[in-house]
Amino acid sequence: MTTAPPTEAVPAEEAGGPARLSPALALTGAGIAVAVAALLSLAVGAIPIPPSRVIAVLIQSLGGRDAIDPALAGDALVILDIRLPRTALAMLVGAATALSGGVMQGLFRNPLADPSLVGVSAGSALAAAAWIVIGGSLAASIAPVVGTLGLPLAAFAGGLVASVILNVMATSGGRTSIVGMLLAGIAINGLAGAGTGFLVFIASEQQLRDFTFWTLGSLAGATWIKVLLVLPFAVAVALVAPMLARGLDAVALGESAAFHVGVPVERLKRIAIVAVAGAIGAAVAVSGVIGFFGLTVPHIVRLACGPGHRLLLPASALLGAALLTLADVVARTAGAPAEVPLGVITAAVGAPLMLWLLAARRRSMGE
Amino acid sequence: MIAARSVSLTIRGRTILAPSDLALRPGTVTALVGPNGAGKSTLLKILSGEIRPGSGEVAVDGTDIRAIAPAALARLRAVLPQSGDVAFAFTVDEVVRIGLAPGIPRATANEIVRRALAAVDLADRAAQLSPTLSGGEQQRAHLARVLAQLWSSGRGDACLLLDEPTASLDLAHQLLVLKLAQAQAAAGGAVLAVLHDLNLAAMAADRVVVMSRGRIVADGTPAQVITREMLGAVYGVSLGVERRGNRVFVLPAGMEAA
Repeated sequence: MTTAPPTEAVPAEEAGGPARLSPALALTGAGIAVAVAALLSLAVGAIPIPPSRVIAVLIQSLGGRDAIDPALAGDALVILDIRLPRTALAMLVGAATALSGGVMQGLFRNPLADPSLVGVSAGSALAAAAWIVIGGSLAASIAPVVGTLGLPLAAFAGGLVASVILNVMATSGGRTSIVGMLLAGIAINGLAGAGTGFLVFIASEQQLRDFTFWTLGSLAGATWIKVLLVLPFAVAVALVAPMLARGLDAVALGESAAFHVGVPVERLKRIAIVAVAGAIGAAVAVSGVIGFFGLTVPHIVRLACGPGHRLLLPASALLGAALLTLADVVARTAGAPAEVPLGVITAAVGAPLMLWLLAARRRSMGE
Repeated sequence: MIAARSVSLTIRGRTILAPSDLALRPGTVTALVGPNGAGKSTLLKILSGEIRPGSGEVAVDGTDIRAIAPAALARLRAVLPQSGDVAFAFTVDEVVRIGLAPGIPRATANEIVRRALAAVDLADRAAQLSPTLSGGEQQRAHLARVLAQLWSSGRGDACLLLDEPTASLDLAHQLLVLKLAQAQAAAGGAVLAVLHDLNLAAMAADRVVVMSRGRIVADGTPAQVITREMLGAVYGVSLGVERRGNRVFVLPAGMEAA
């Protein structure tokens, strides 16, 4: 009865199984990628700093600013005040966006689903546009800090409002219909797009420049305040994700089958939607709309490690942190001293990858 | 034990299911038969707790099904739904594991999955990607998942609800499915199977329930229920019914023994 080897975790290695990375290898690899990307992000910039000095500054700074060797003071200023908040923000936004994408795709049973698909990002973008065009100058005249914090908070509120509308529209009789939710998402996207378009139309030239840059995504304005703003939402979705993993695996069989095997499907959906709305709203608030990221990262992980969410979600978070940090390094060095919008880079890499994946999928599925 | 008391369902003024009573008996295989649109799947979904009836109630072991959490319910009954497409490229092994109750020790889990795959003739397909299986093989993979759920539930007599379990299977595997259903009944479980093939129903079931236009119109042993009159009234066809001892067979008209 109980002669099965207790340690074998991947029975798929028997005859003809798909080639997949083991969980330990995938997570270790992604973890190393995060560390390398972070180091690179701290070392590269207008003033190049050798990685050895970056590490020295980081280690010494653990003892407080005063503990840093005076010979490193200049480097410490650049690293700790300018590059570290930006790197931290890239990692948090990357992890939160990729993780949210993985959860959404599992929930929608669709590998092409993305938080931007259901209108959360569009809601954030509309609120941000409204802030820039209508609210910002008004608030800044009251107190400068209101103007600074207002934009991210408005974007976050917009994302949350879109999620609530979505939930109300797609839920009837206590059940959320995935198809209804996708259609409602399309409608919300359209409405928010129309609103945003109108605001762009009435905006002044300066407002337009702010807004265009922001909608293409950027981490240029990274501050510790923004890091602290996105941190609780990123932590929340990261804490919730492991609890959703088994349920999302079961939802792949359909919502009824998931209920049959004991998954409280309605509760799972509510928790996932709120966690994703918070994470995406906060991410969009601090970095703008970074296209194709939440879509692509889980795709890559699924290809390498299989679709099981116990591994997919943490691996997506790590890979998302690493890849967005690297993308940001490219964003601020490719056209230096000017910055290329981050969303331009992620879309330029992500969209062709997406098309290639679709083509490969059609071939393998014989669709 | 699952029992439905005067459950009904009306959607936008259309009666899908008129108030109906059905108690599944432990140790019994019940076949639910009837024409398309008779309400068989609806009744099965109400019994499984998947849809709430408009009126009436369902009790599992005497407890209102609405008061049982999904995880607890999953240990009391397993369900094989009609369609079983898998959204992502899970392996057959992973699909079967989704059925396992949480918290099963790994060695036990591996053994249950191995036995479940062997029981449906898919022992050598564990590592294959589910979307690359044929329709019948996918159906069997889902059946293995259901068996994994039953066998990891911690009780031998859980209920089993099967919605057209033989639909895409070849003859040998149709018989295999019904044998597995009978085994669960022999272990003390109440089993309900929606079937279209009356001969299979007559062969495998202890009890046949006939539905027509949202109502239960006959309920009894195969020999009591499967008659020329029932076939004419419910299906609107003229077929012969042959009796041999306790067994009944449905035959094309004119083929019955003189």
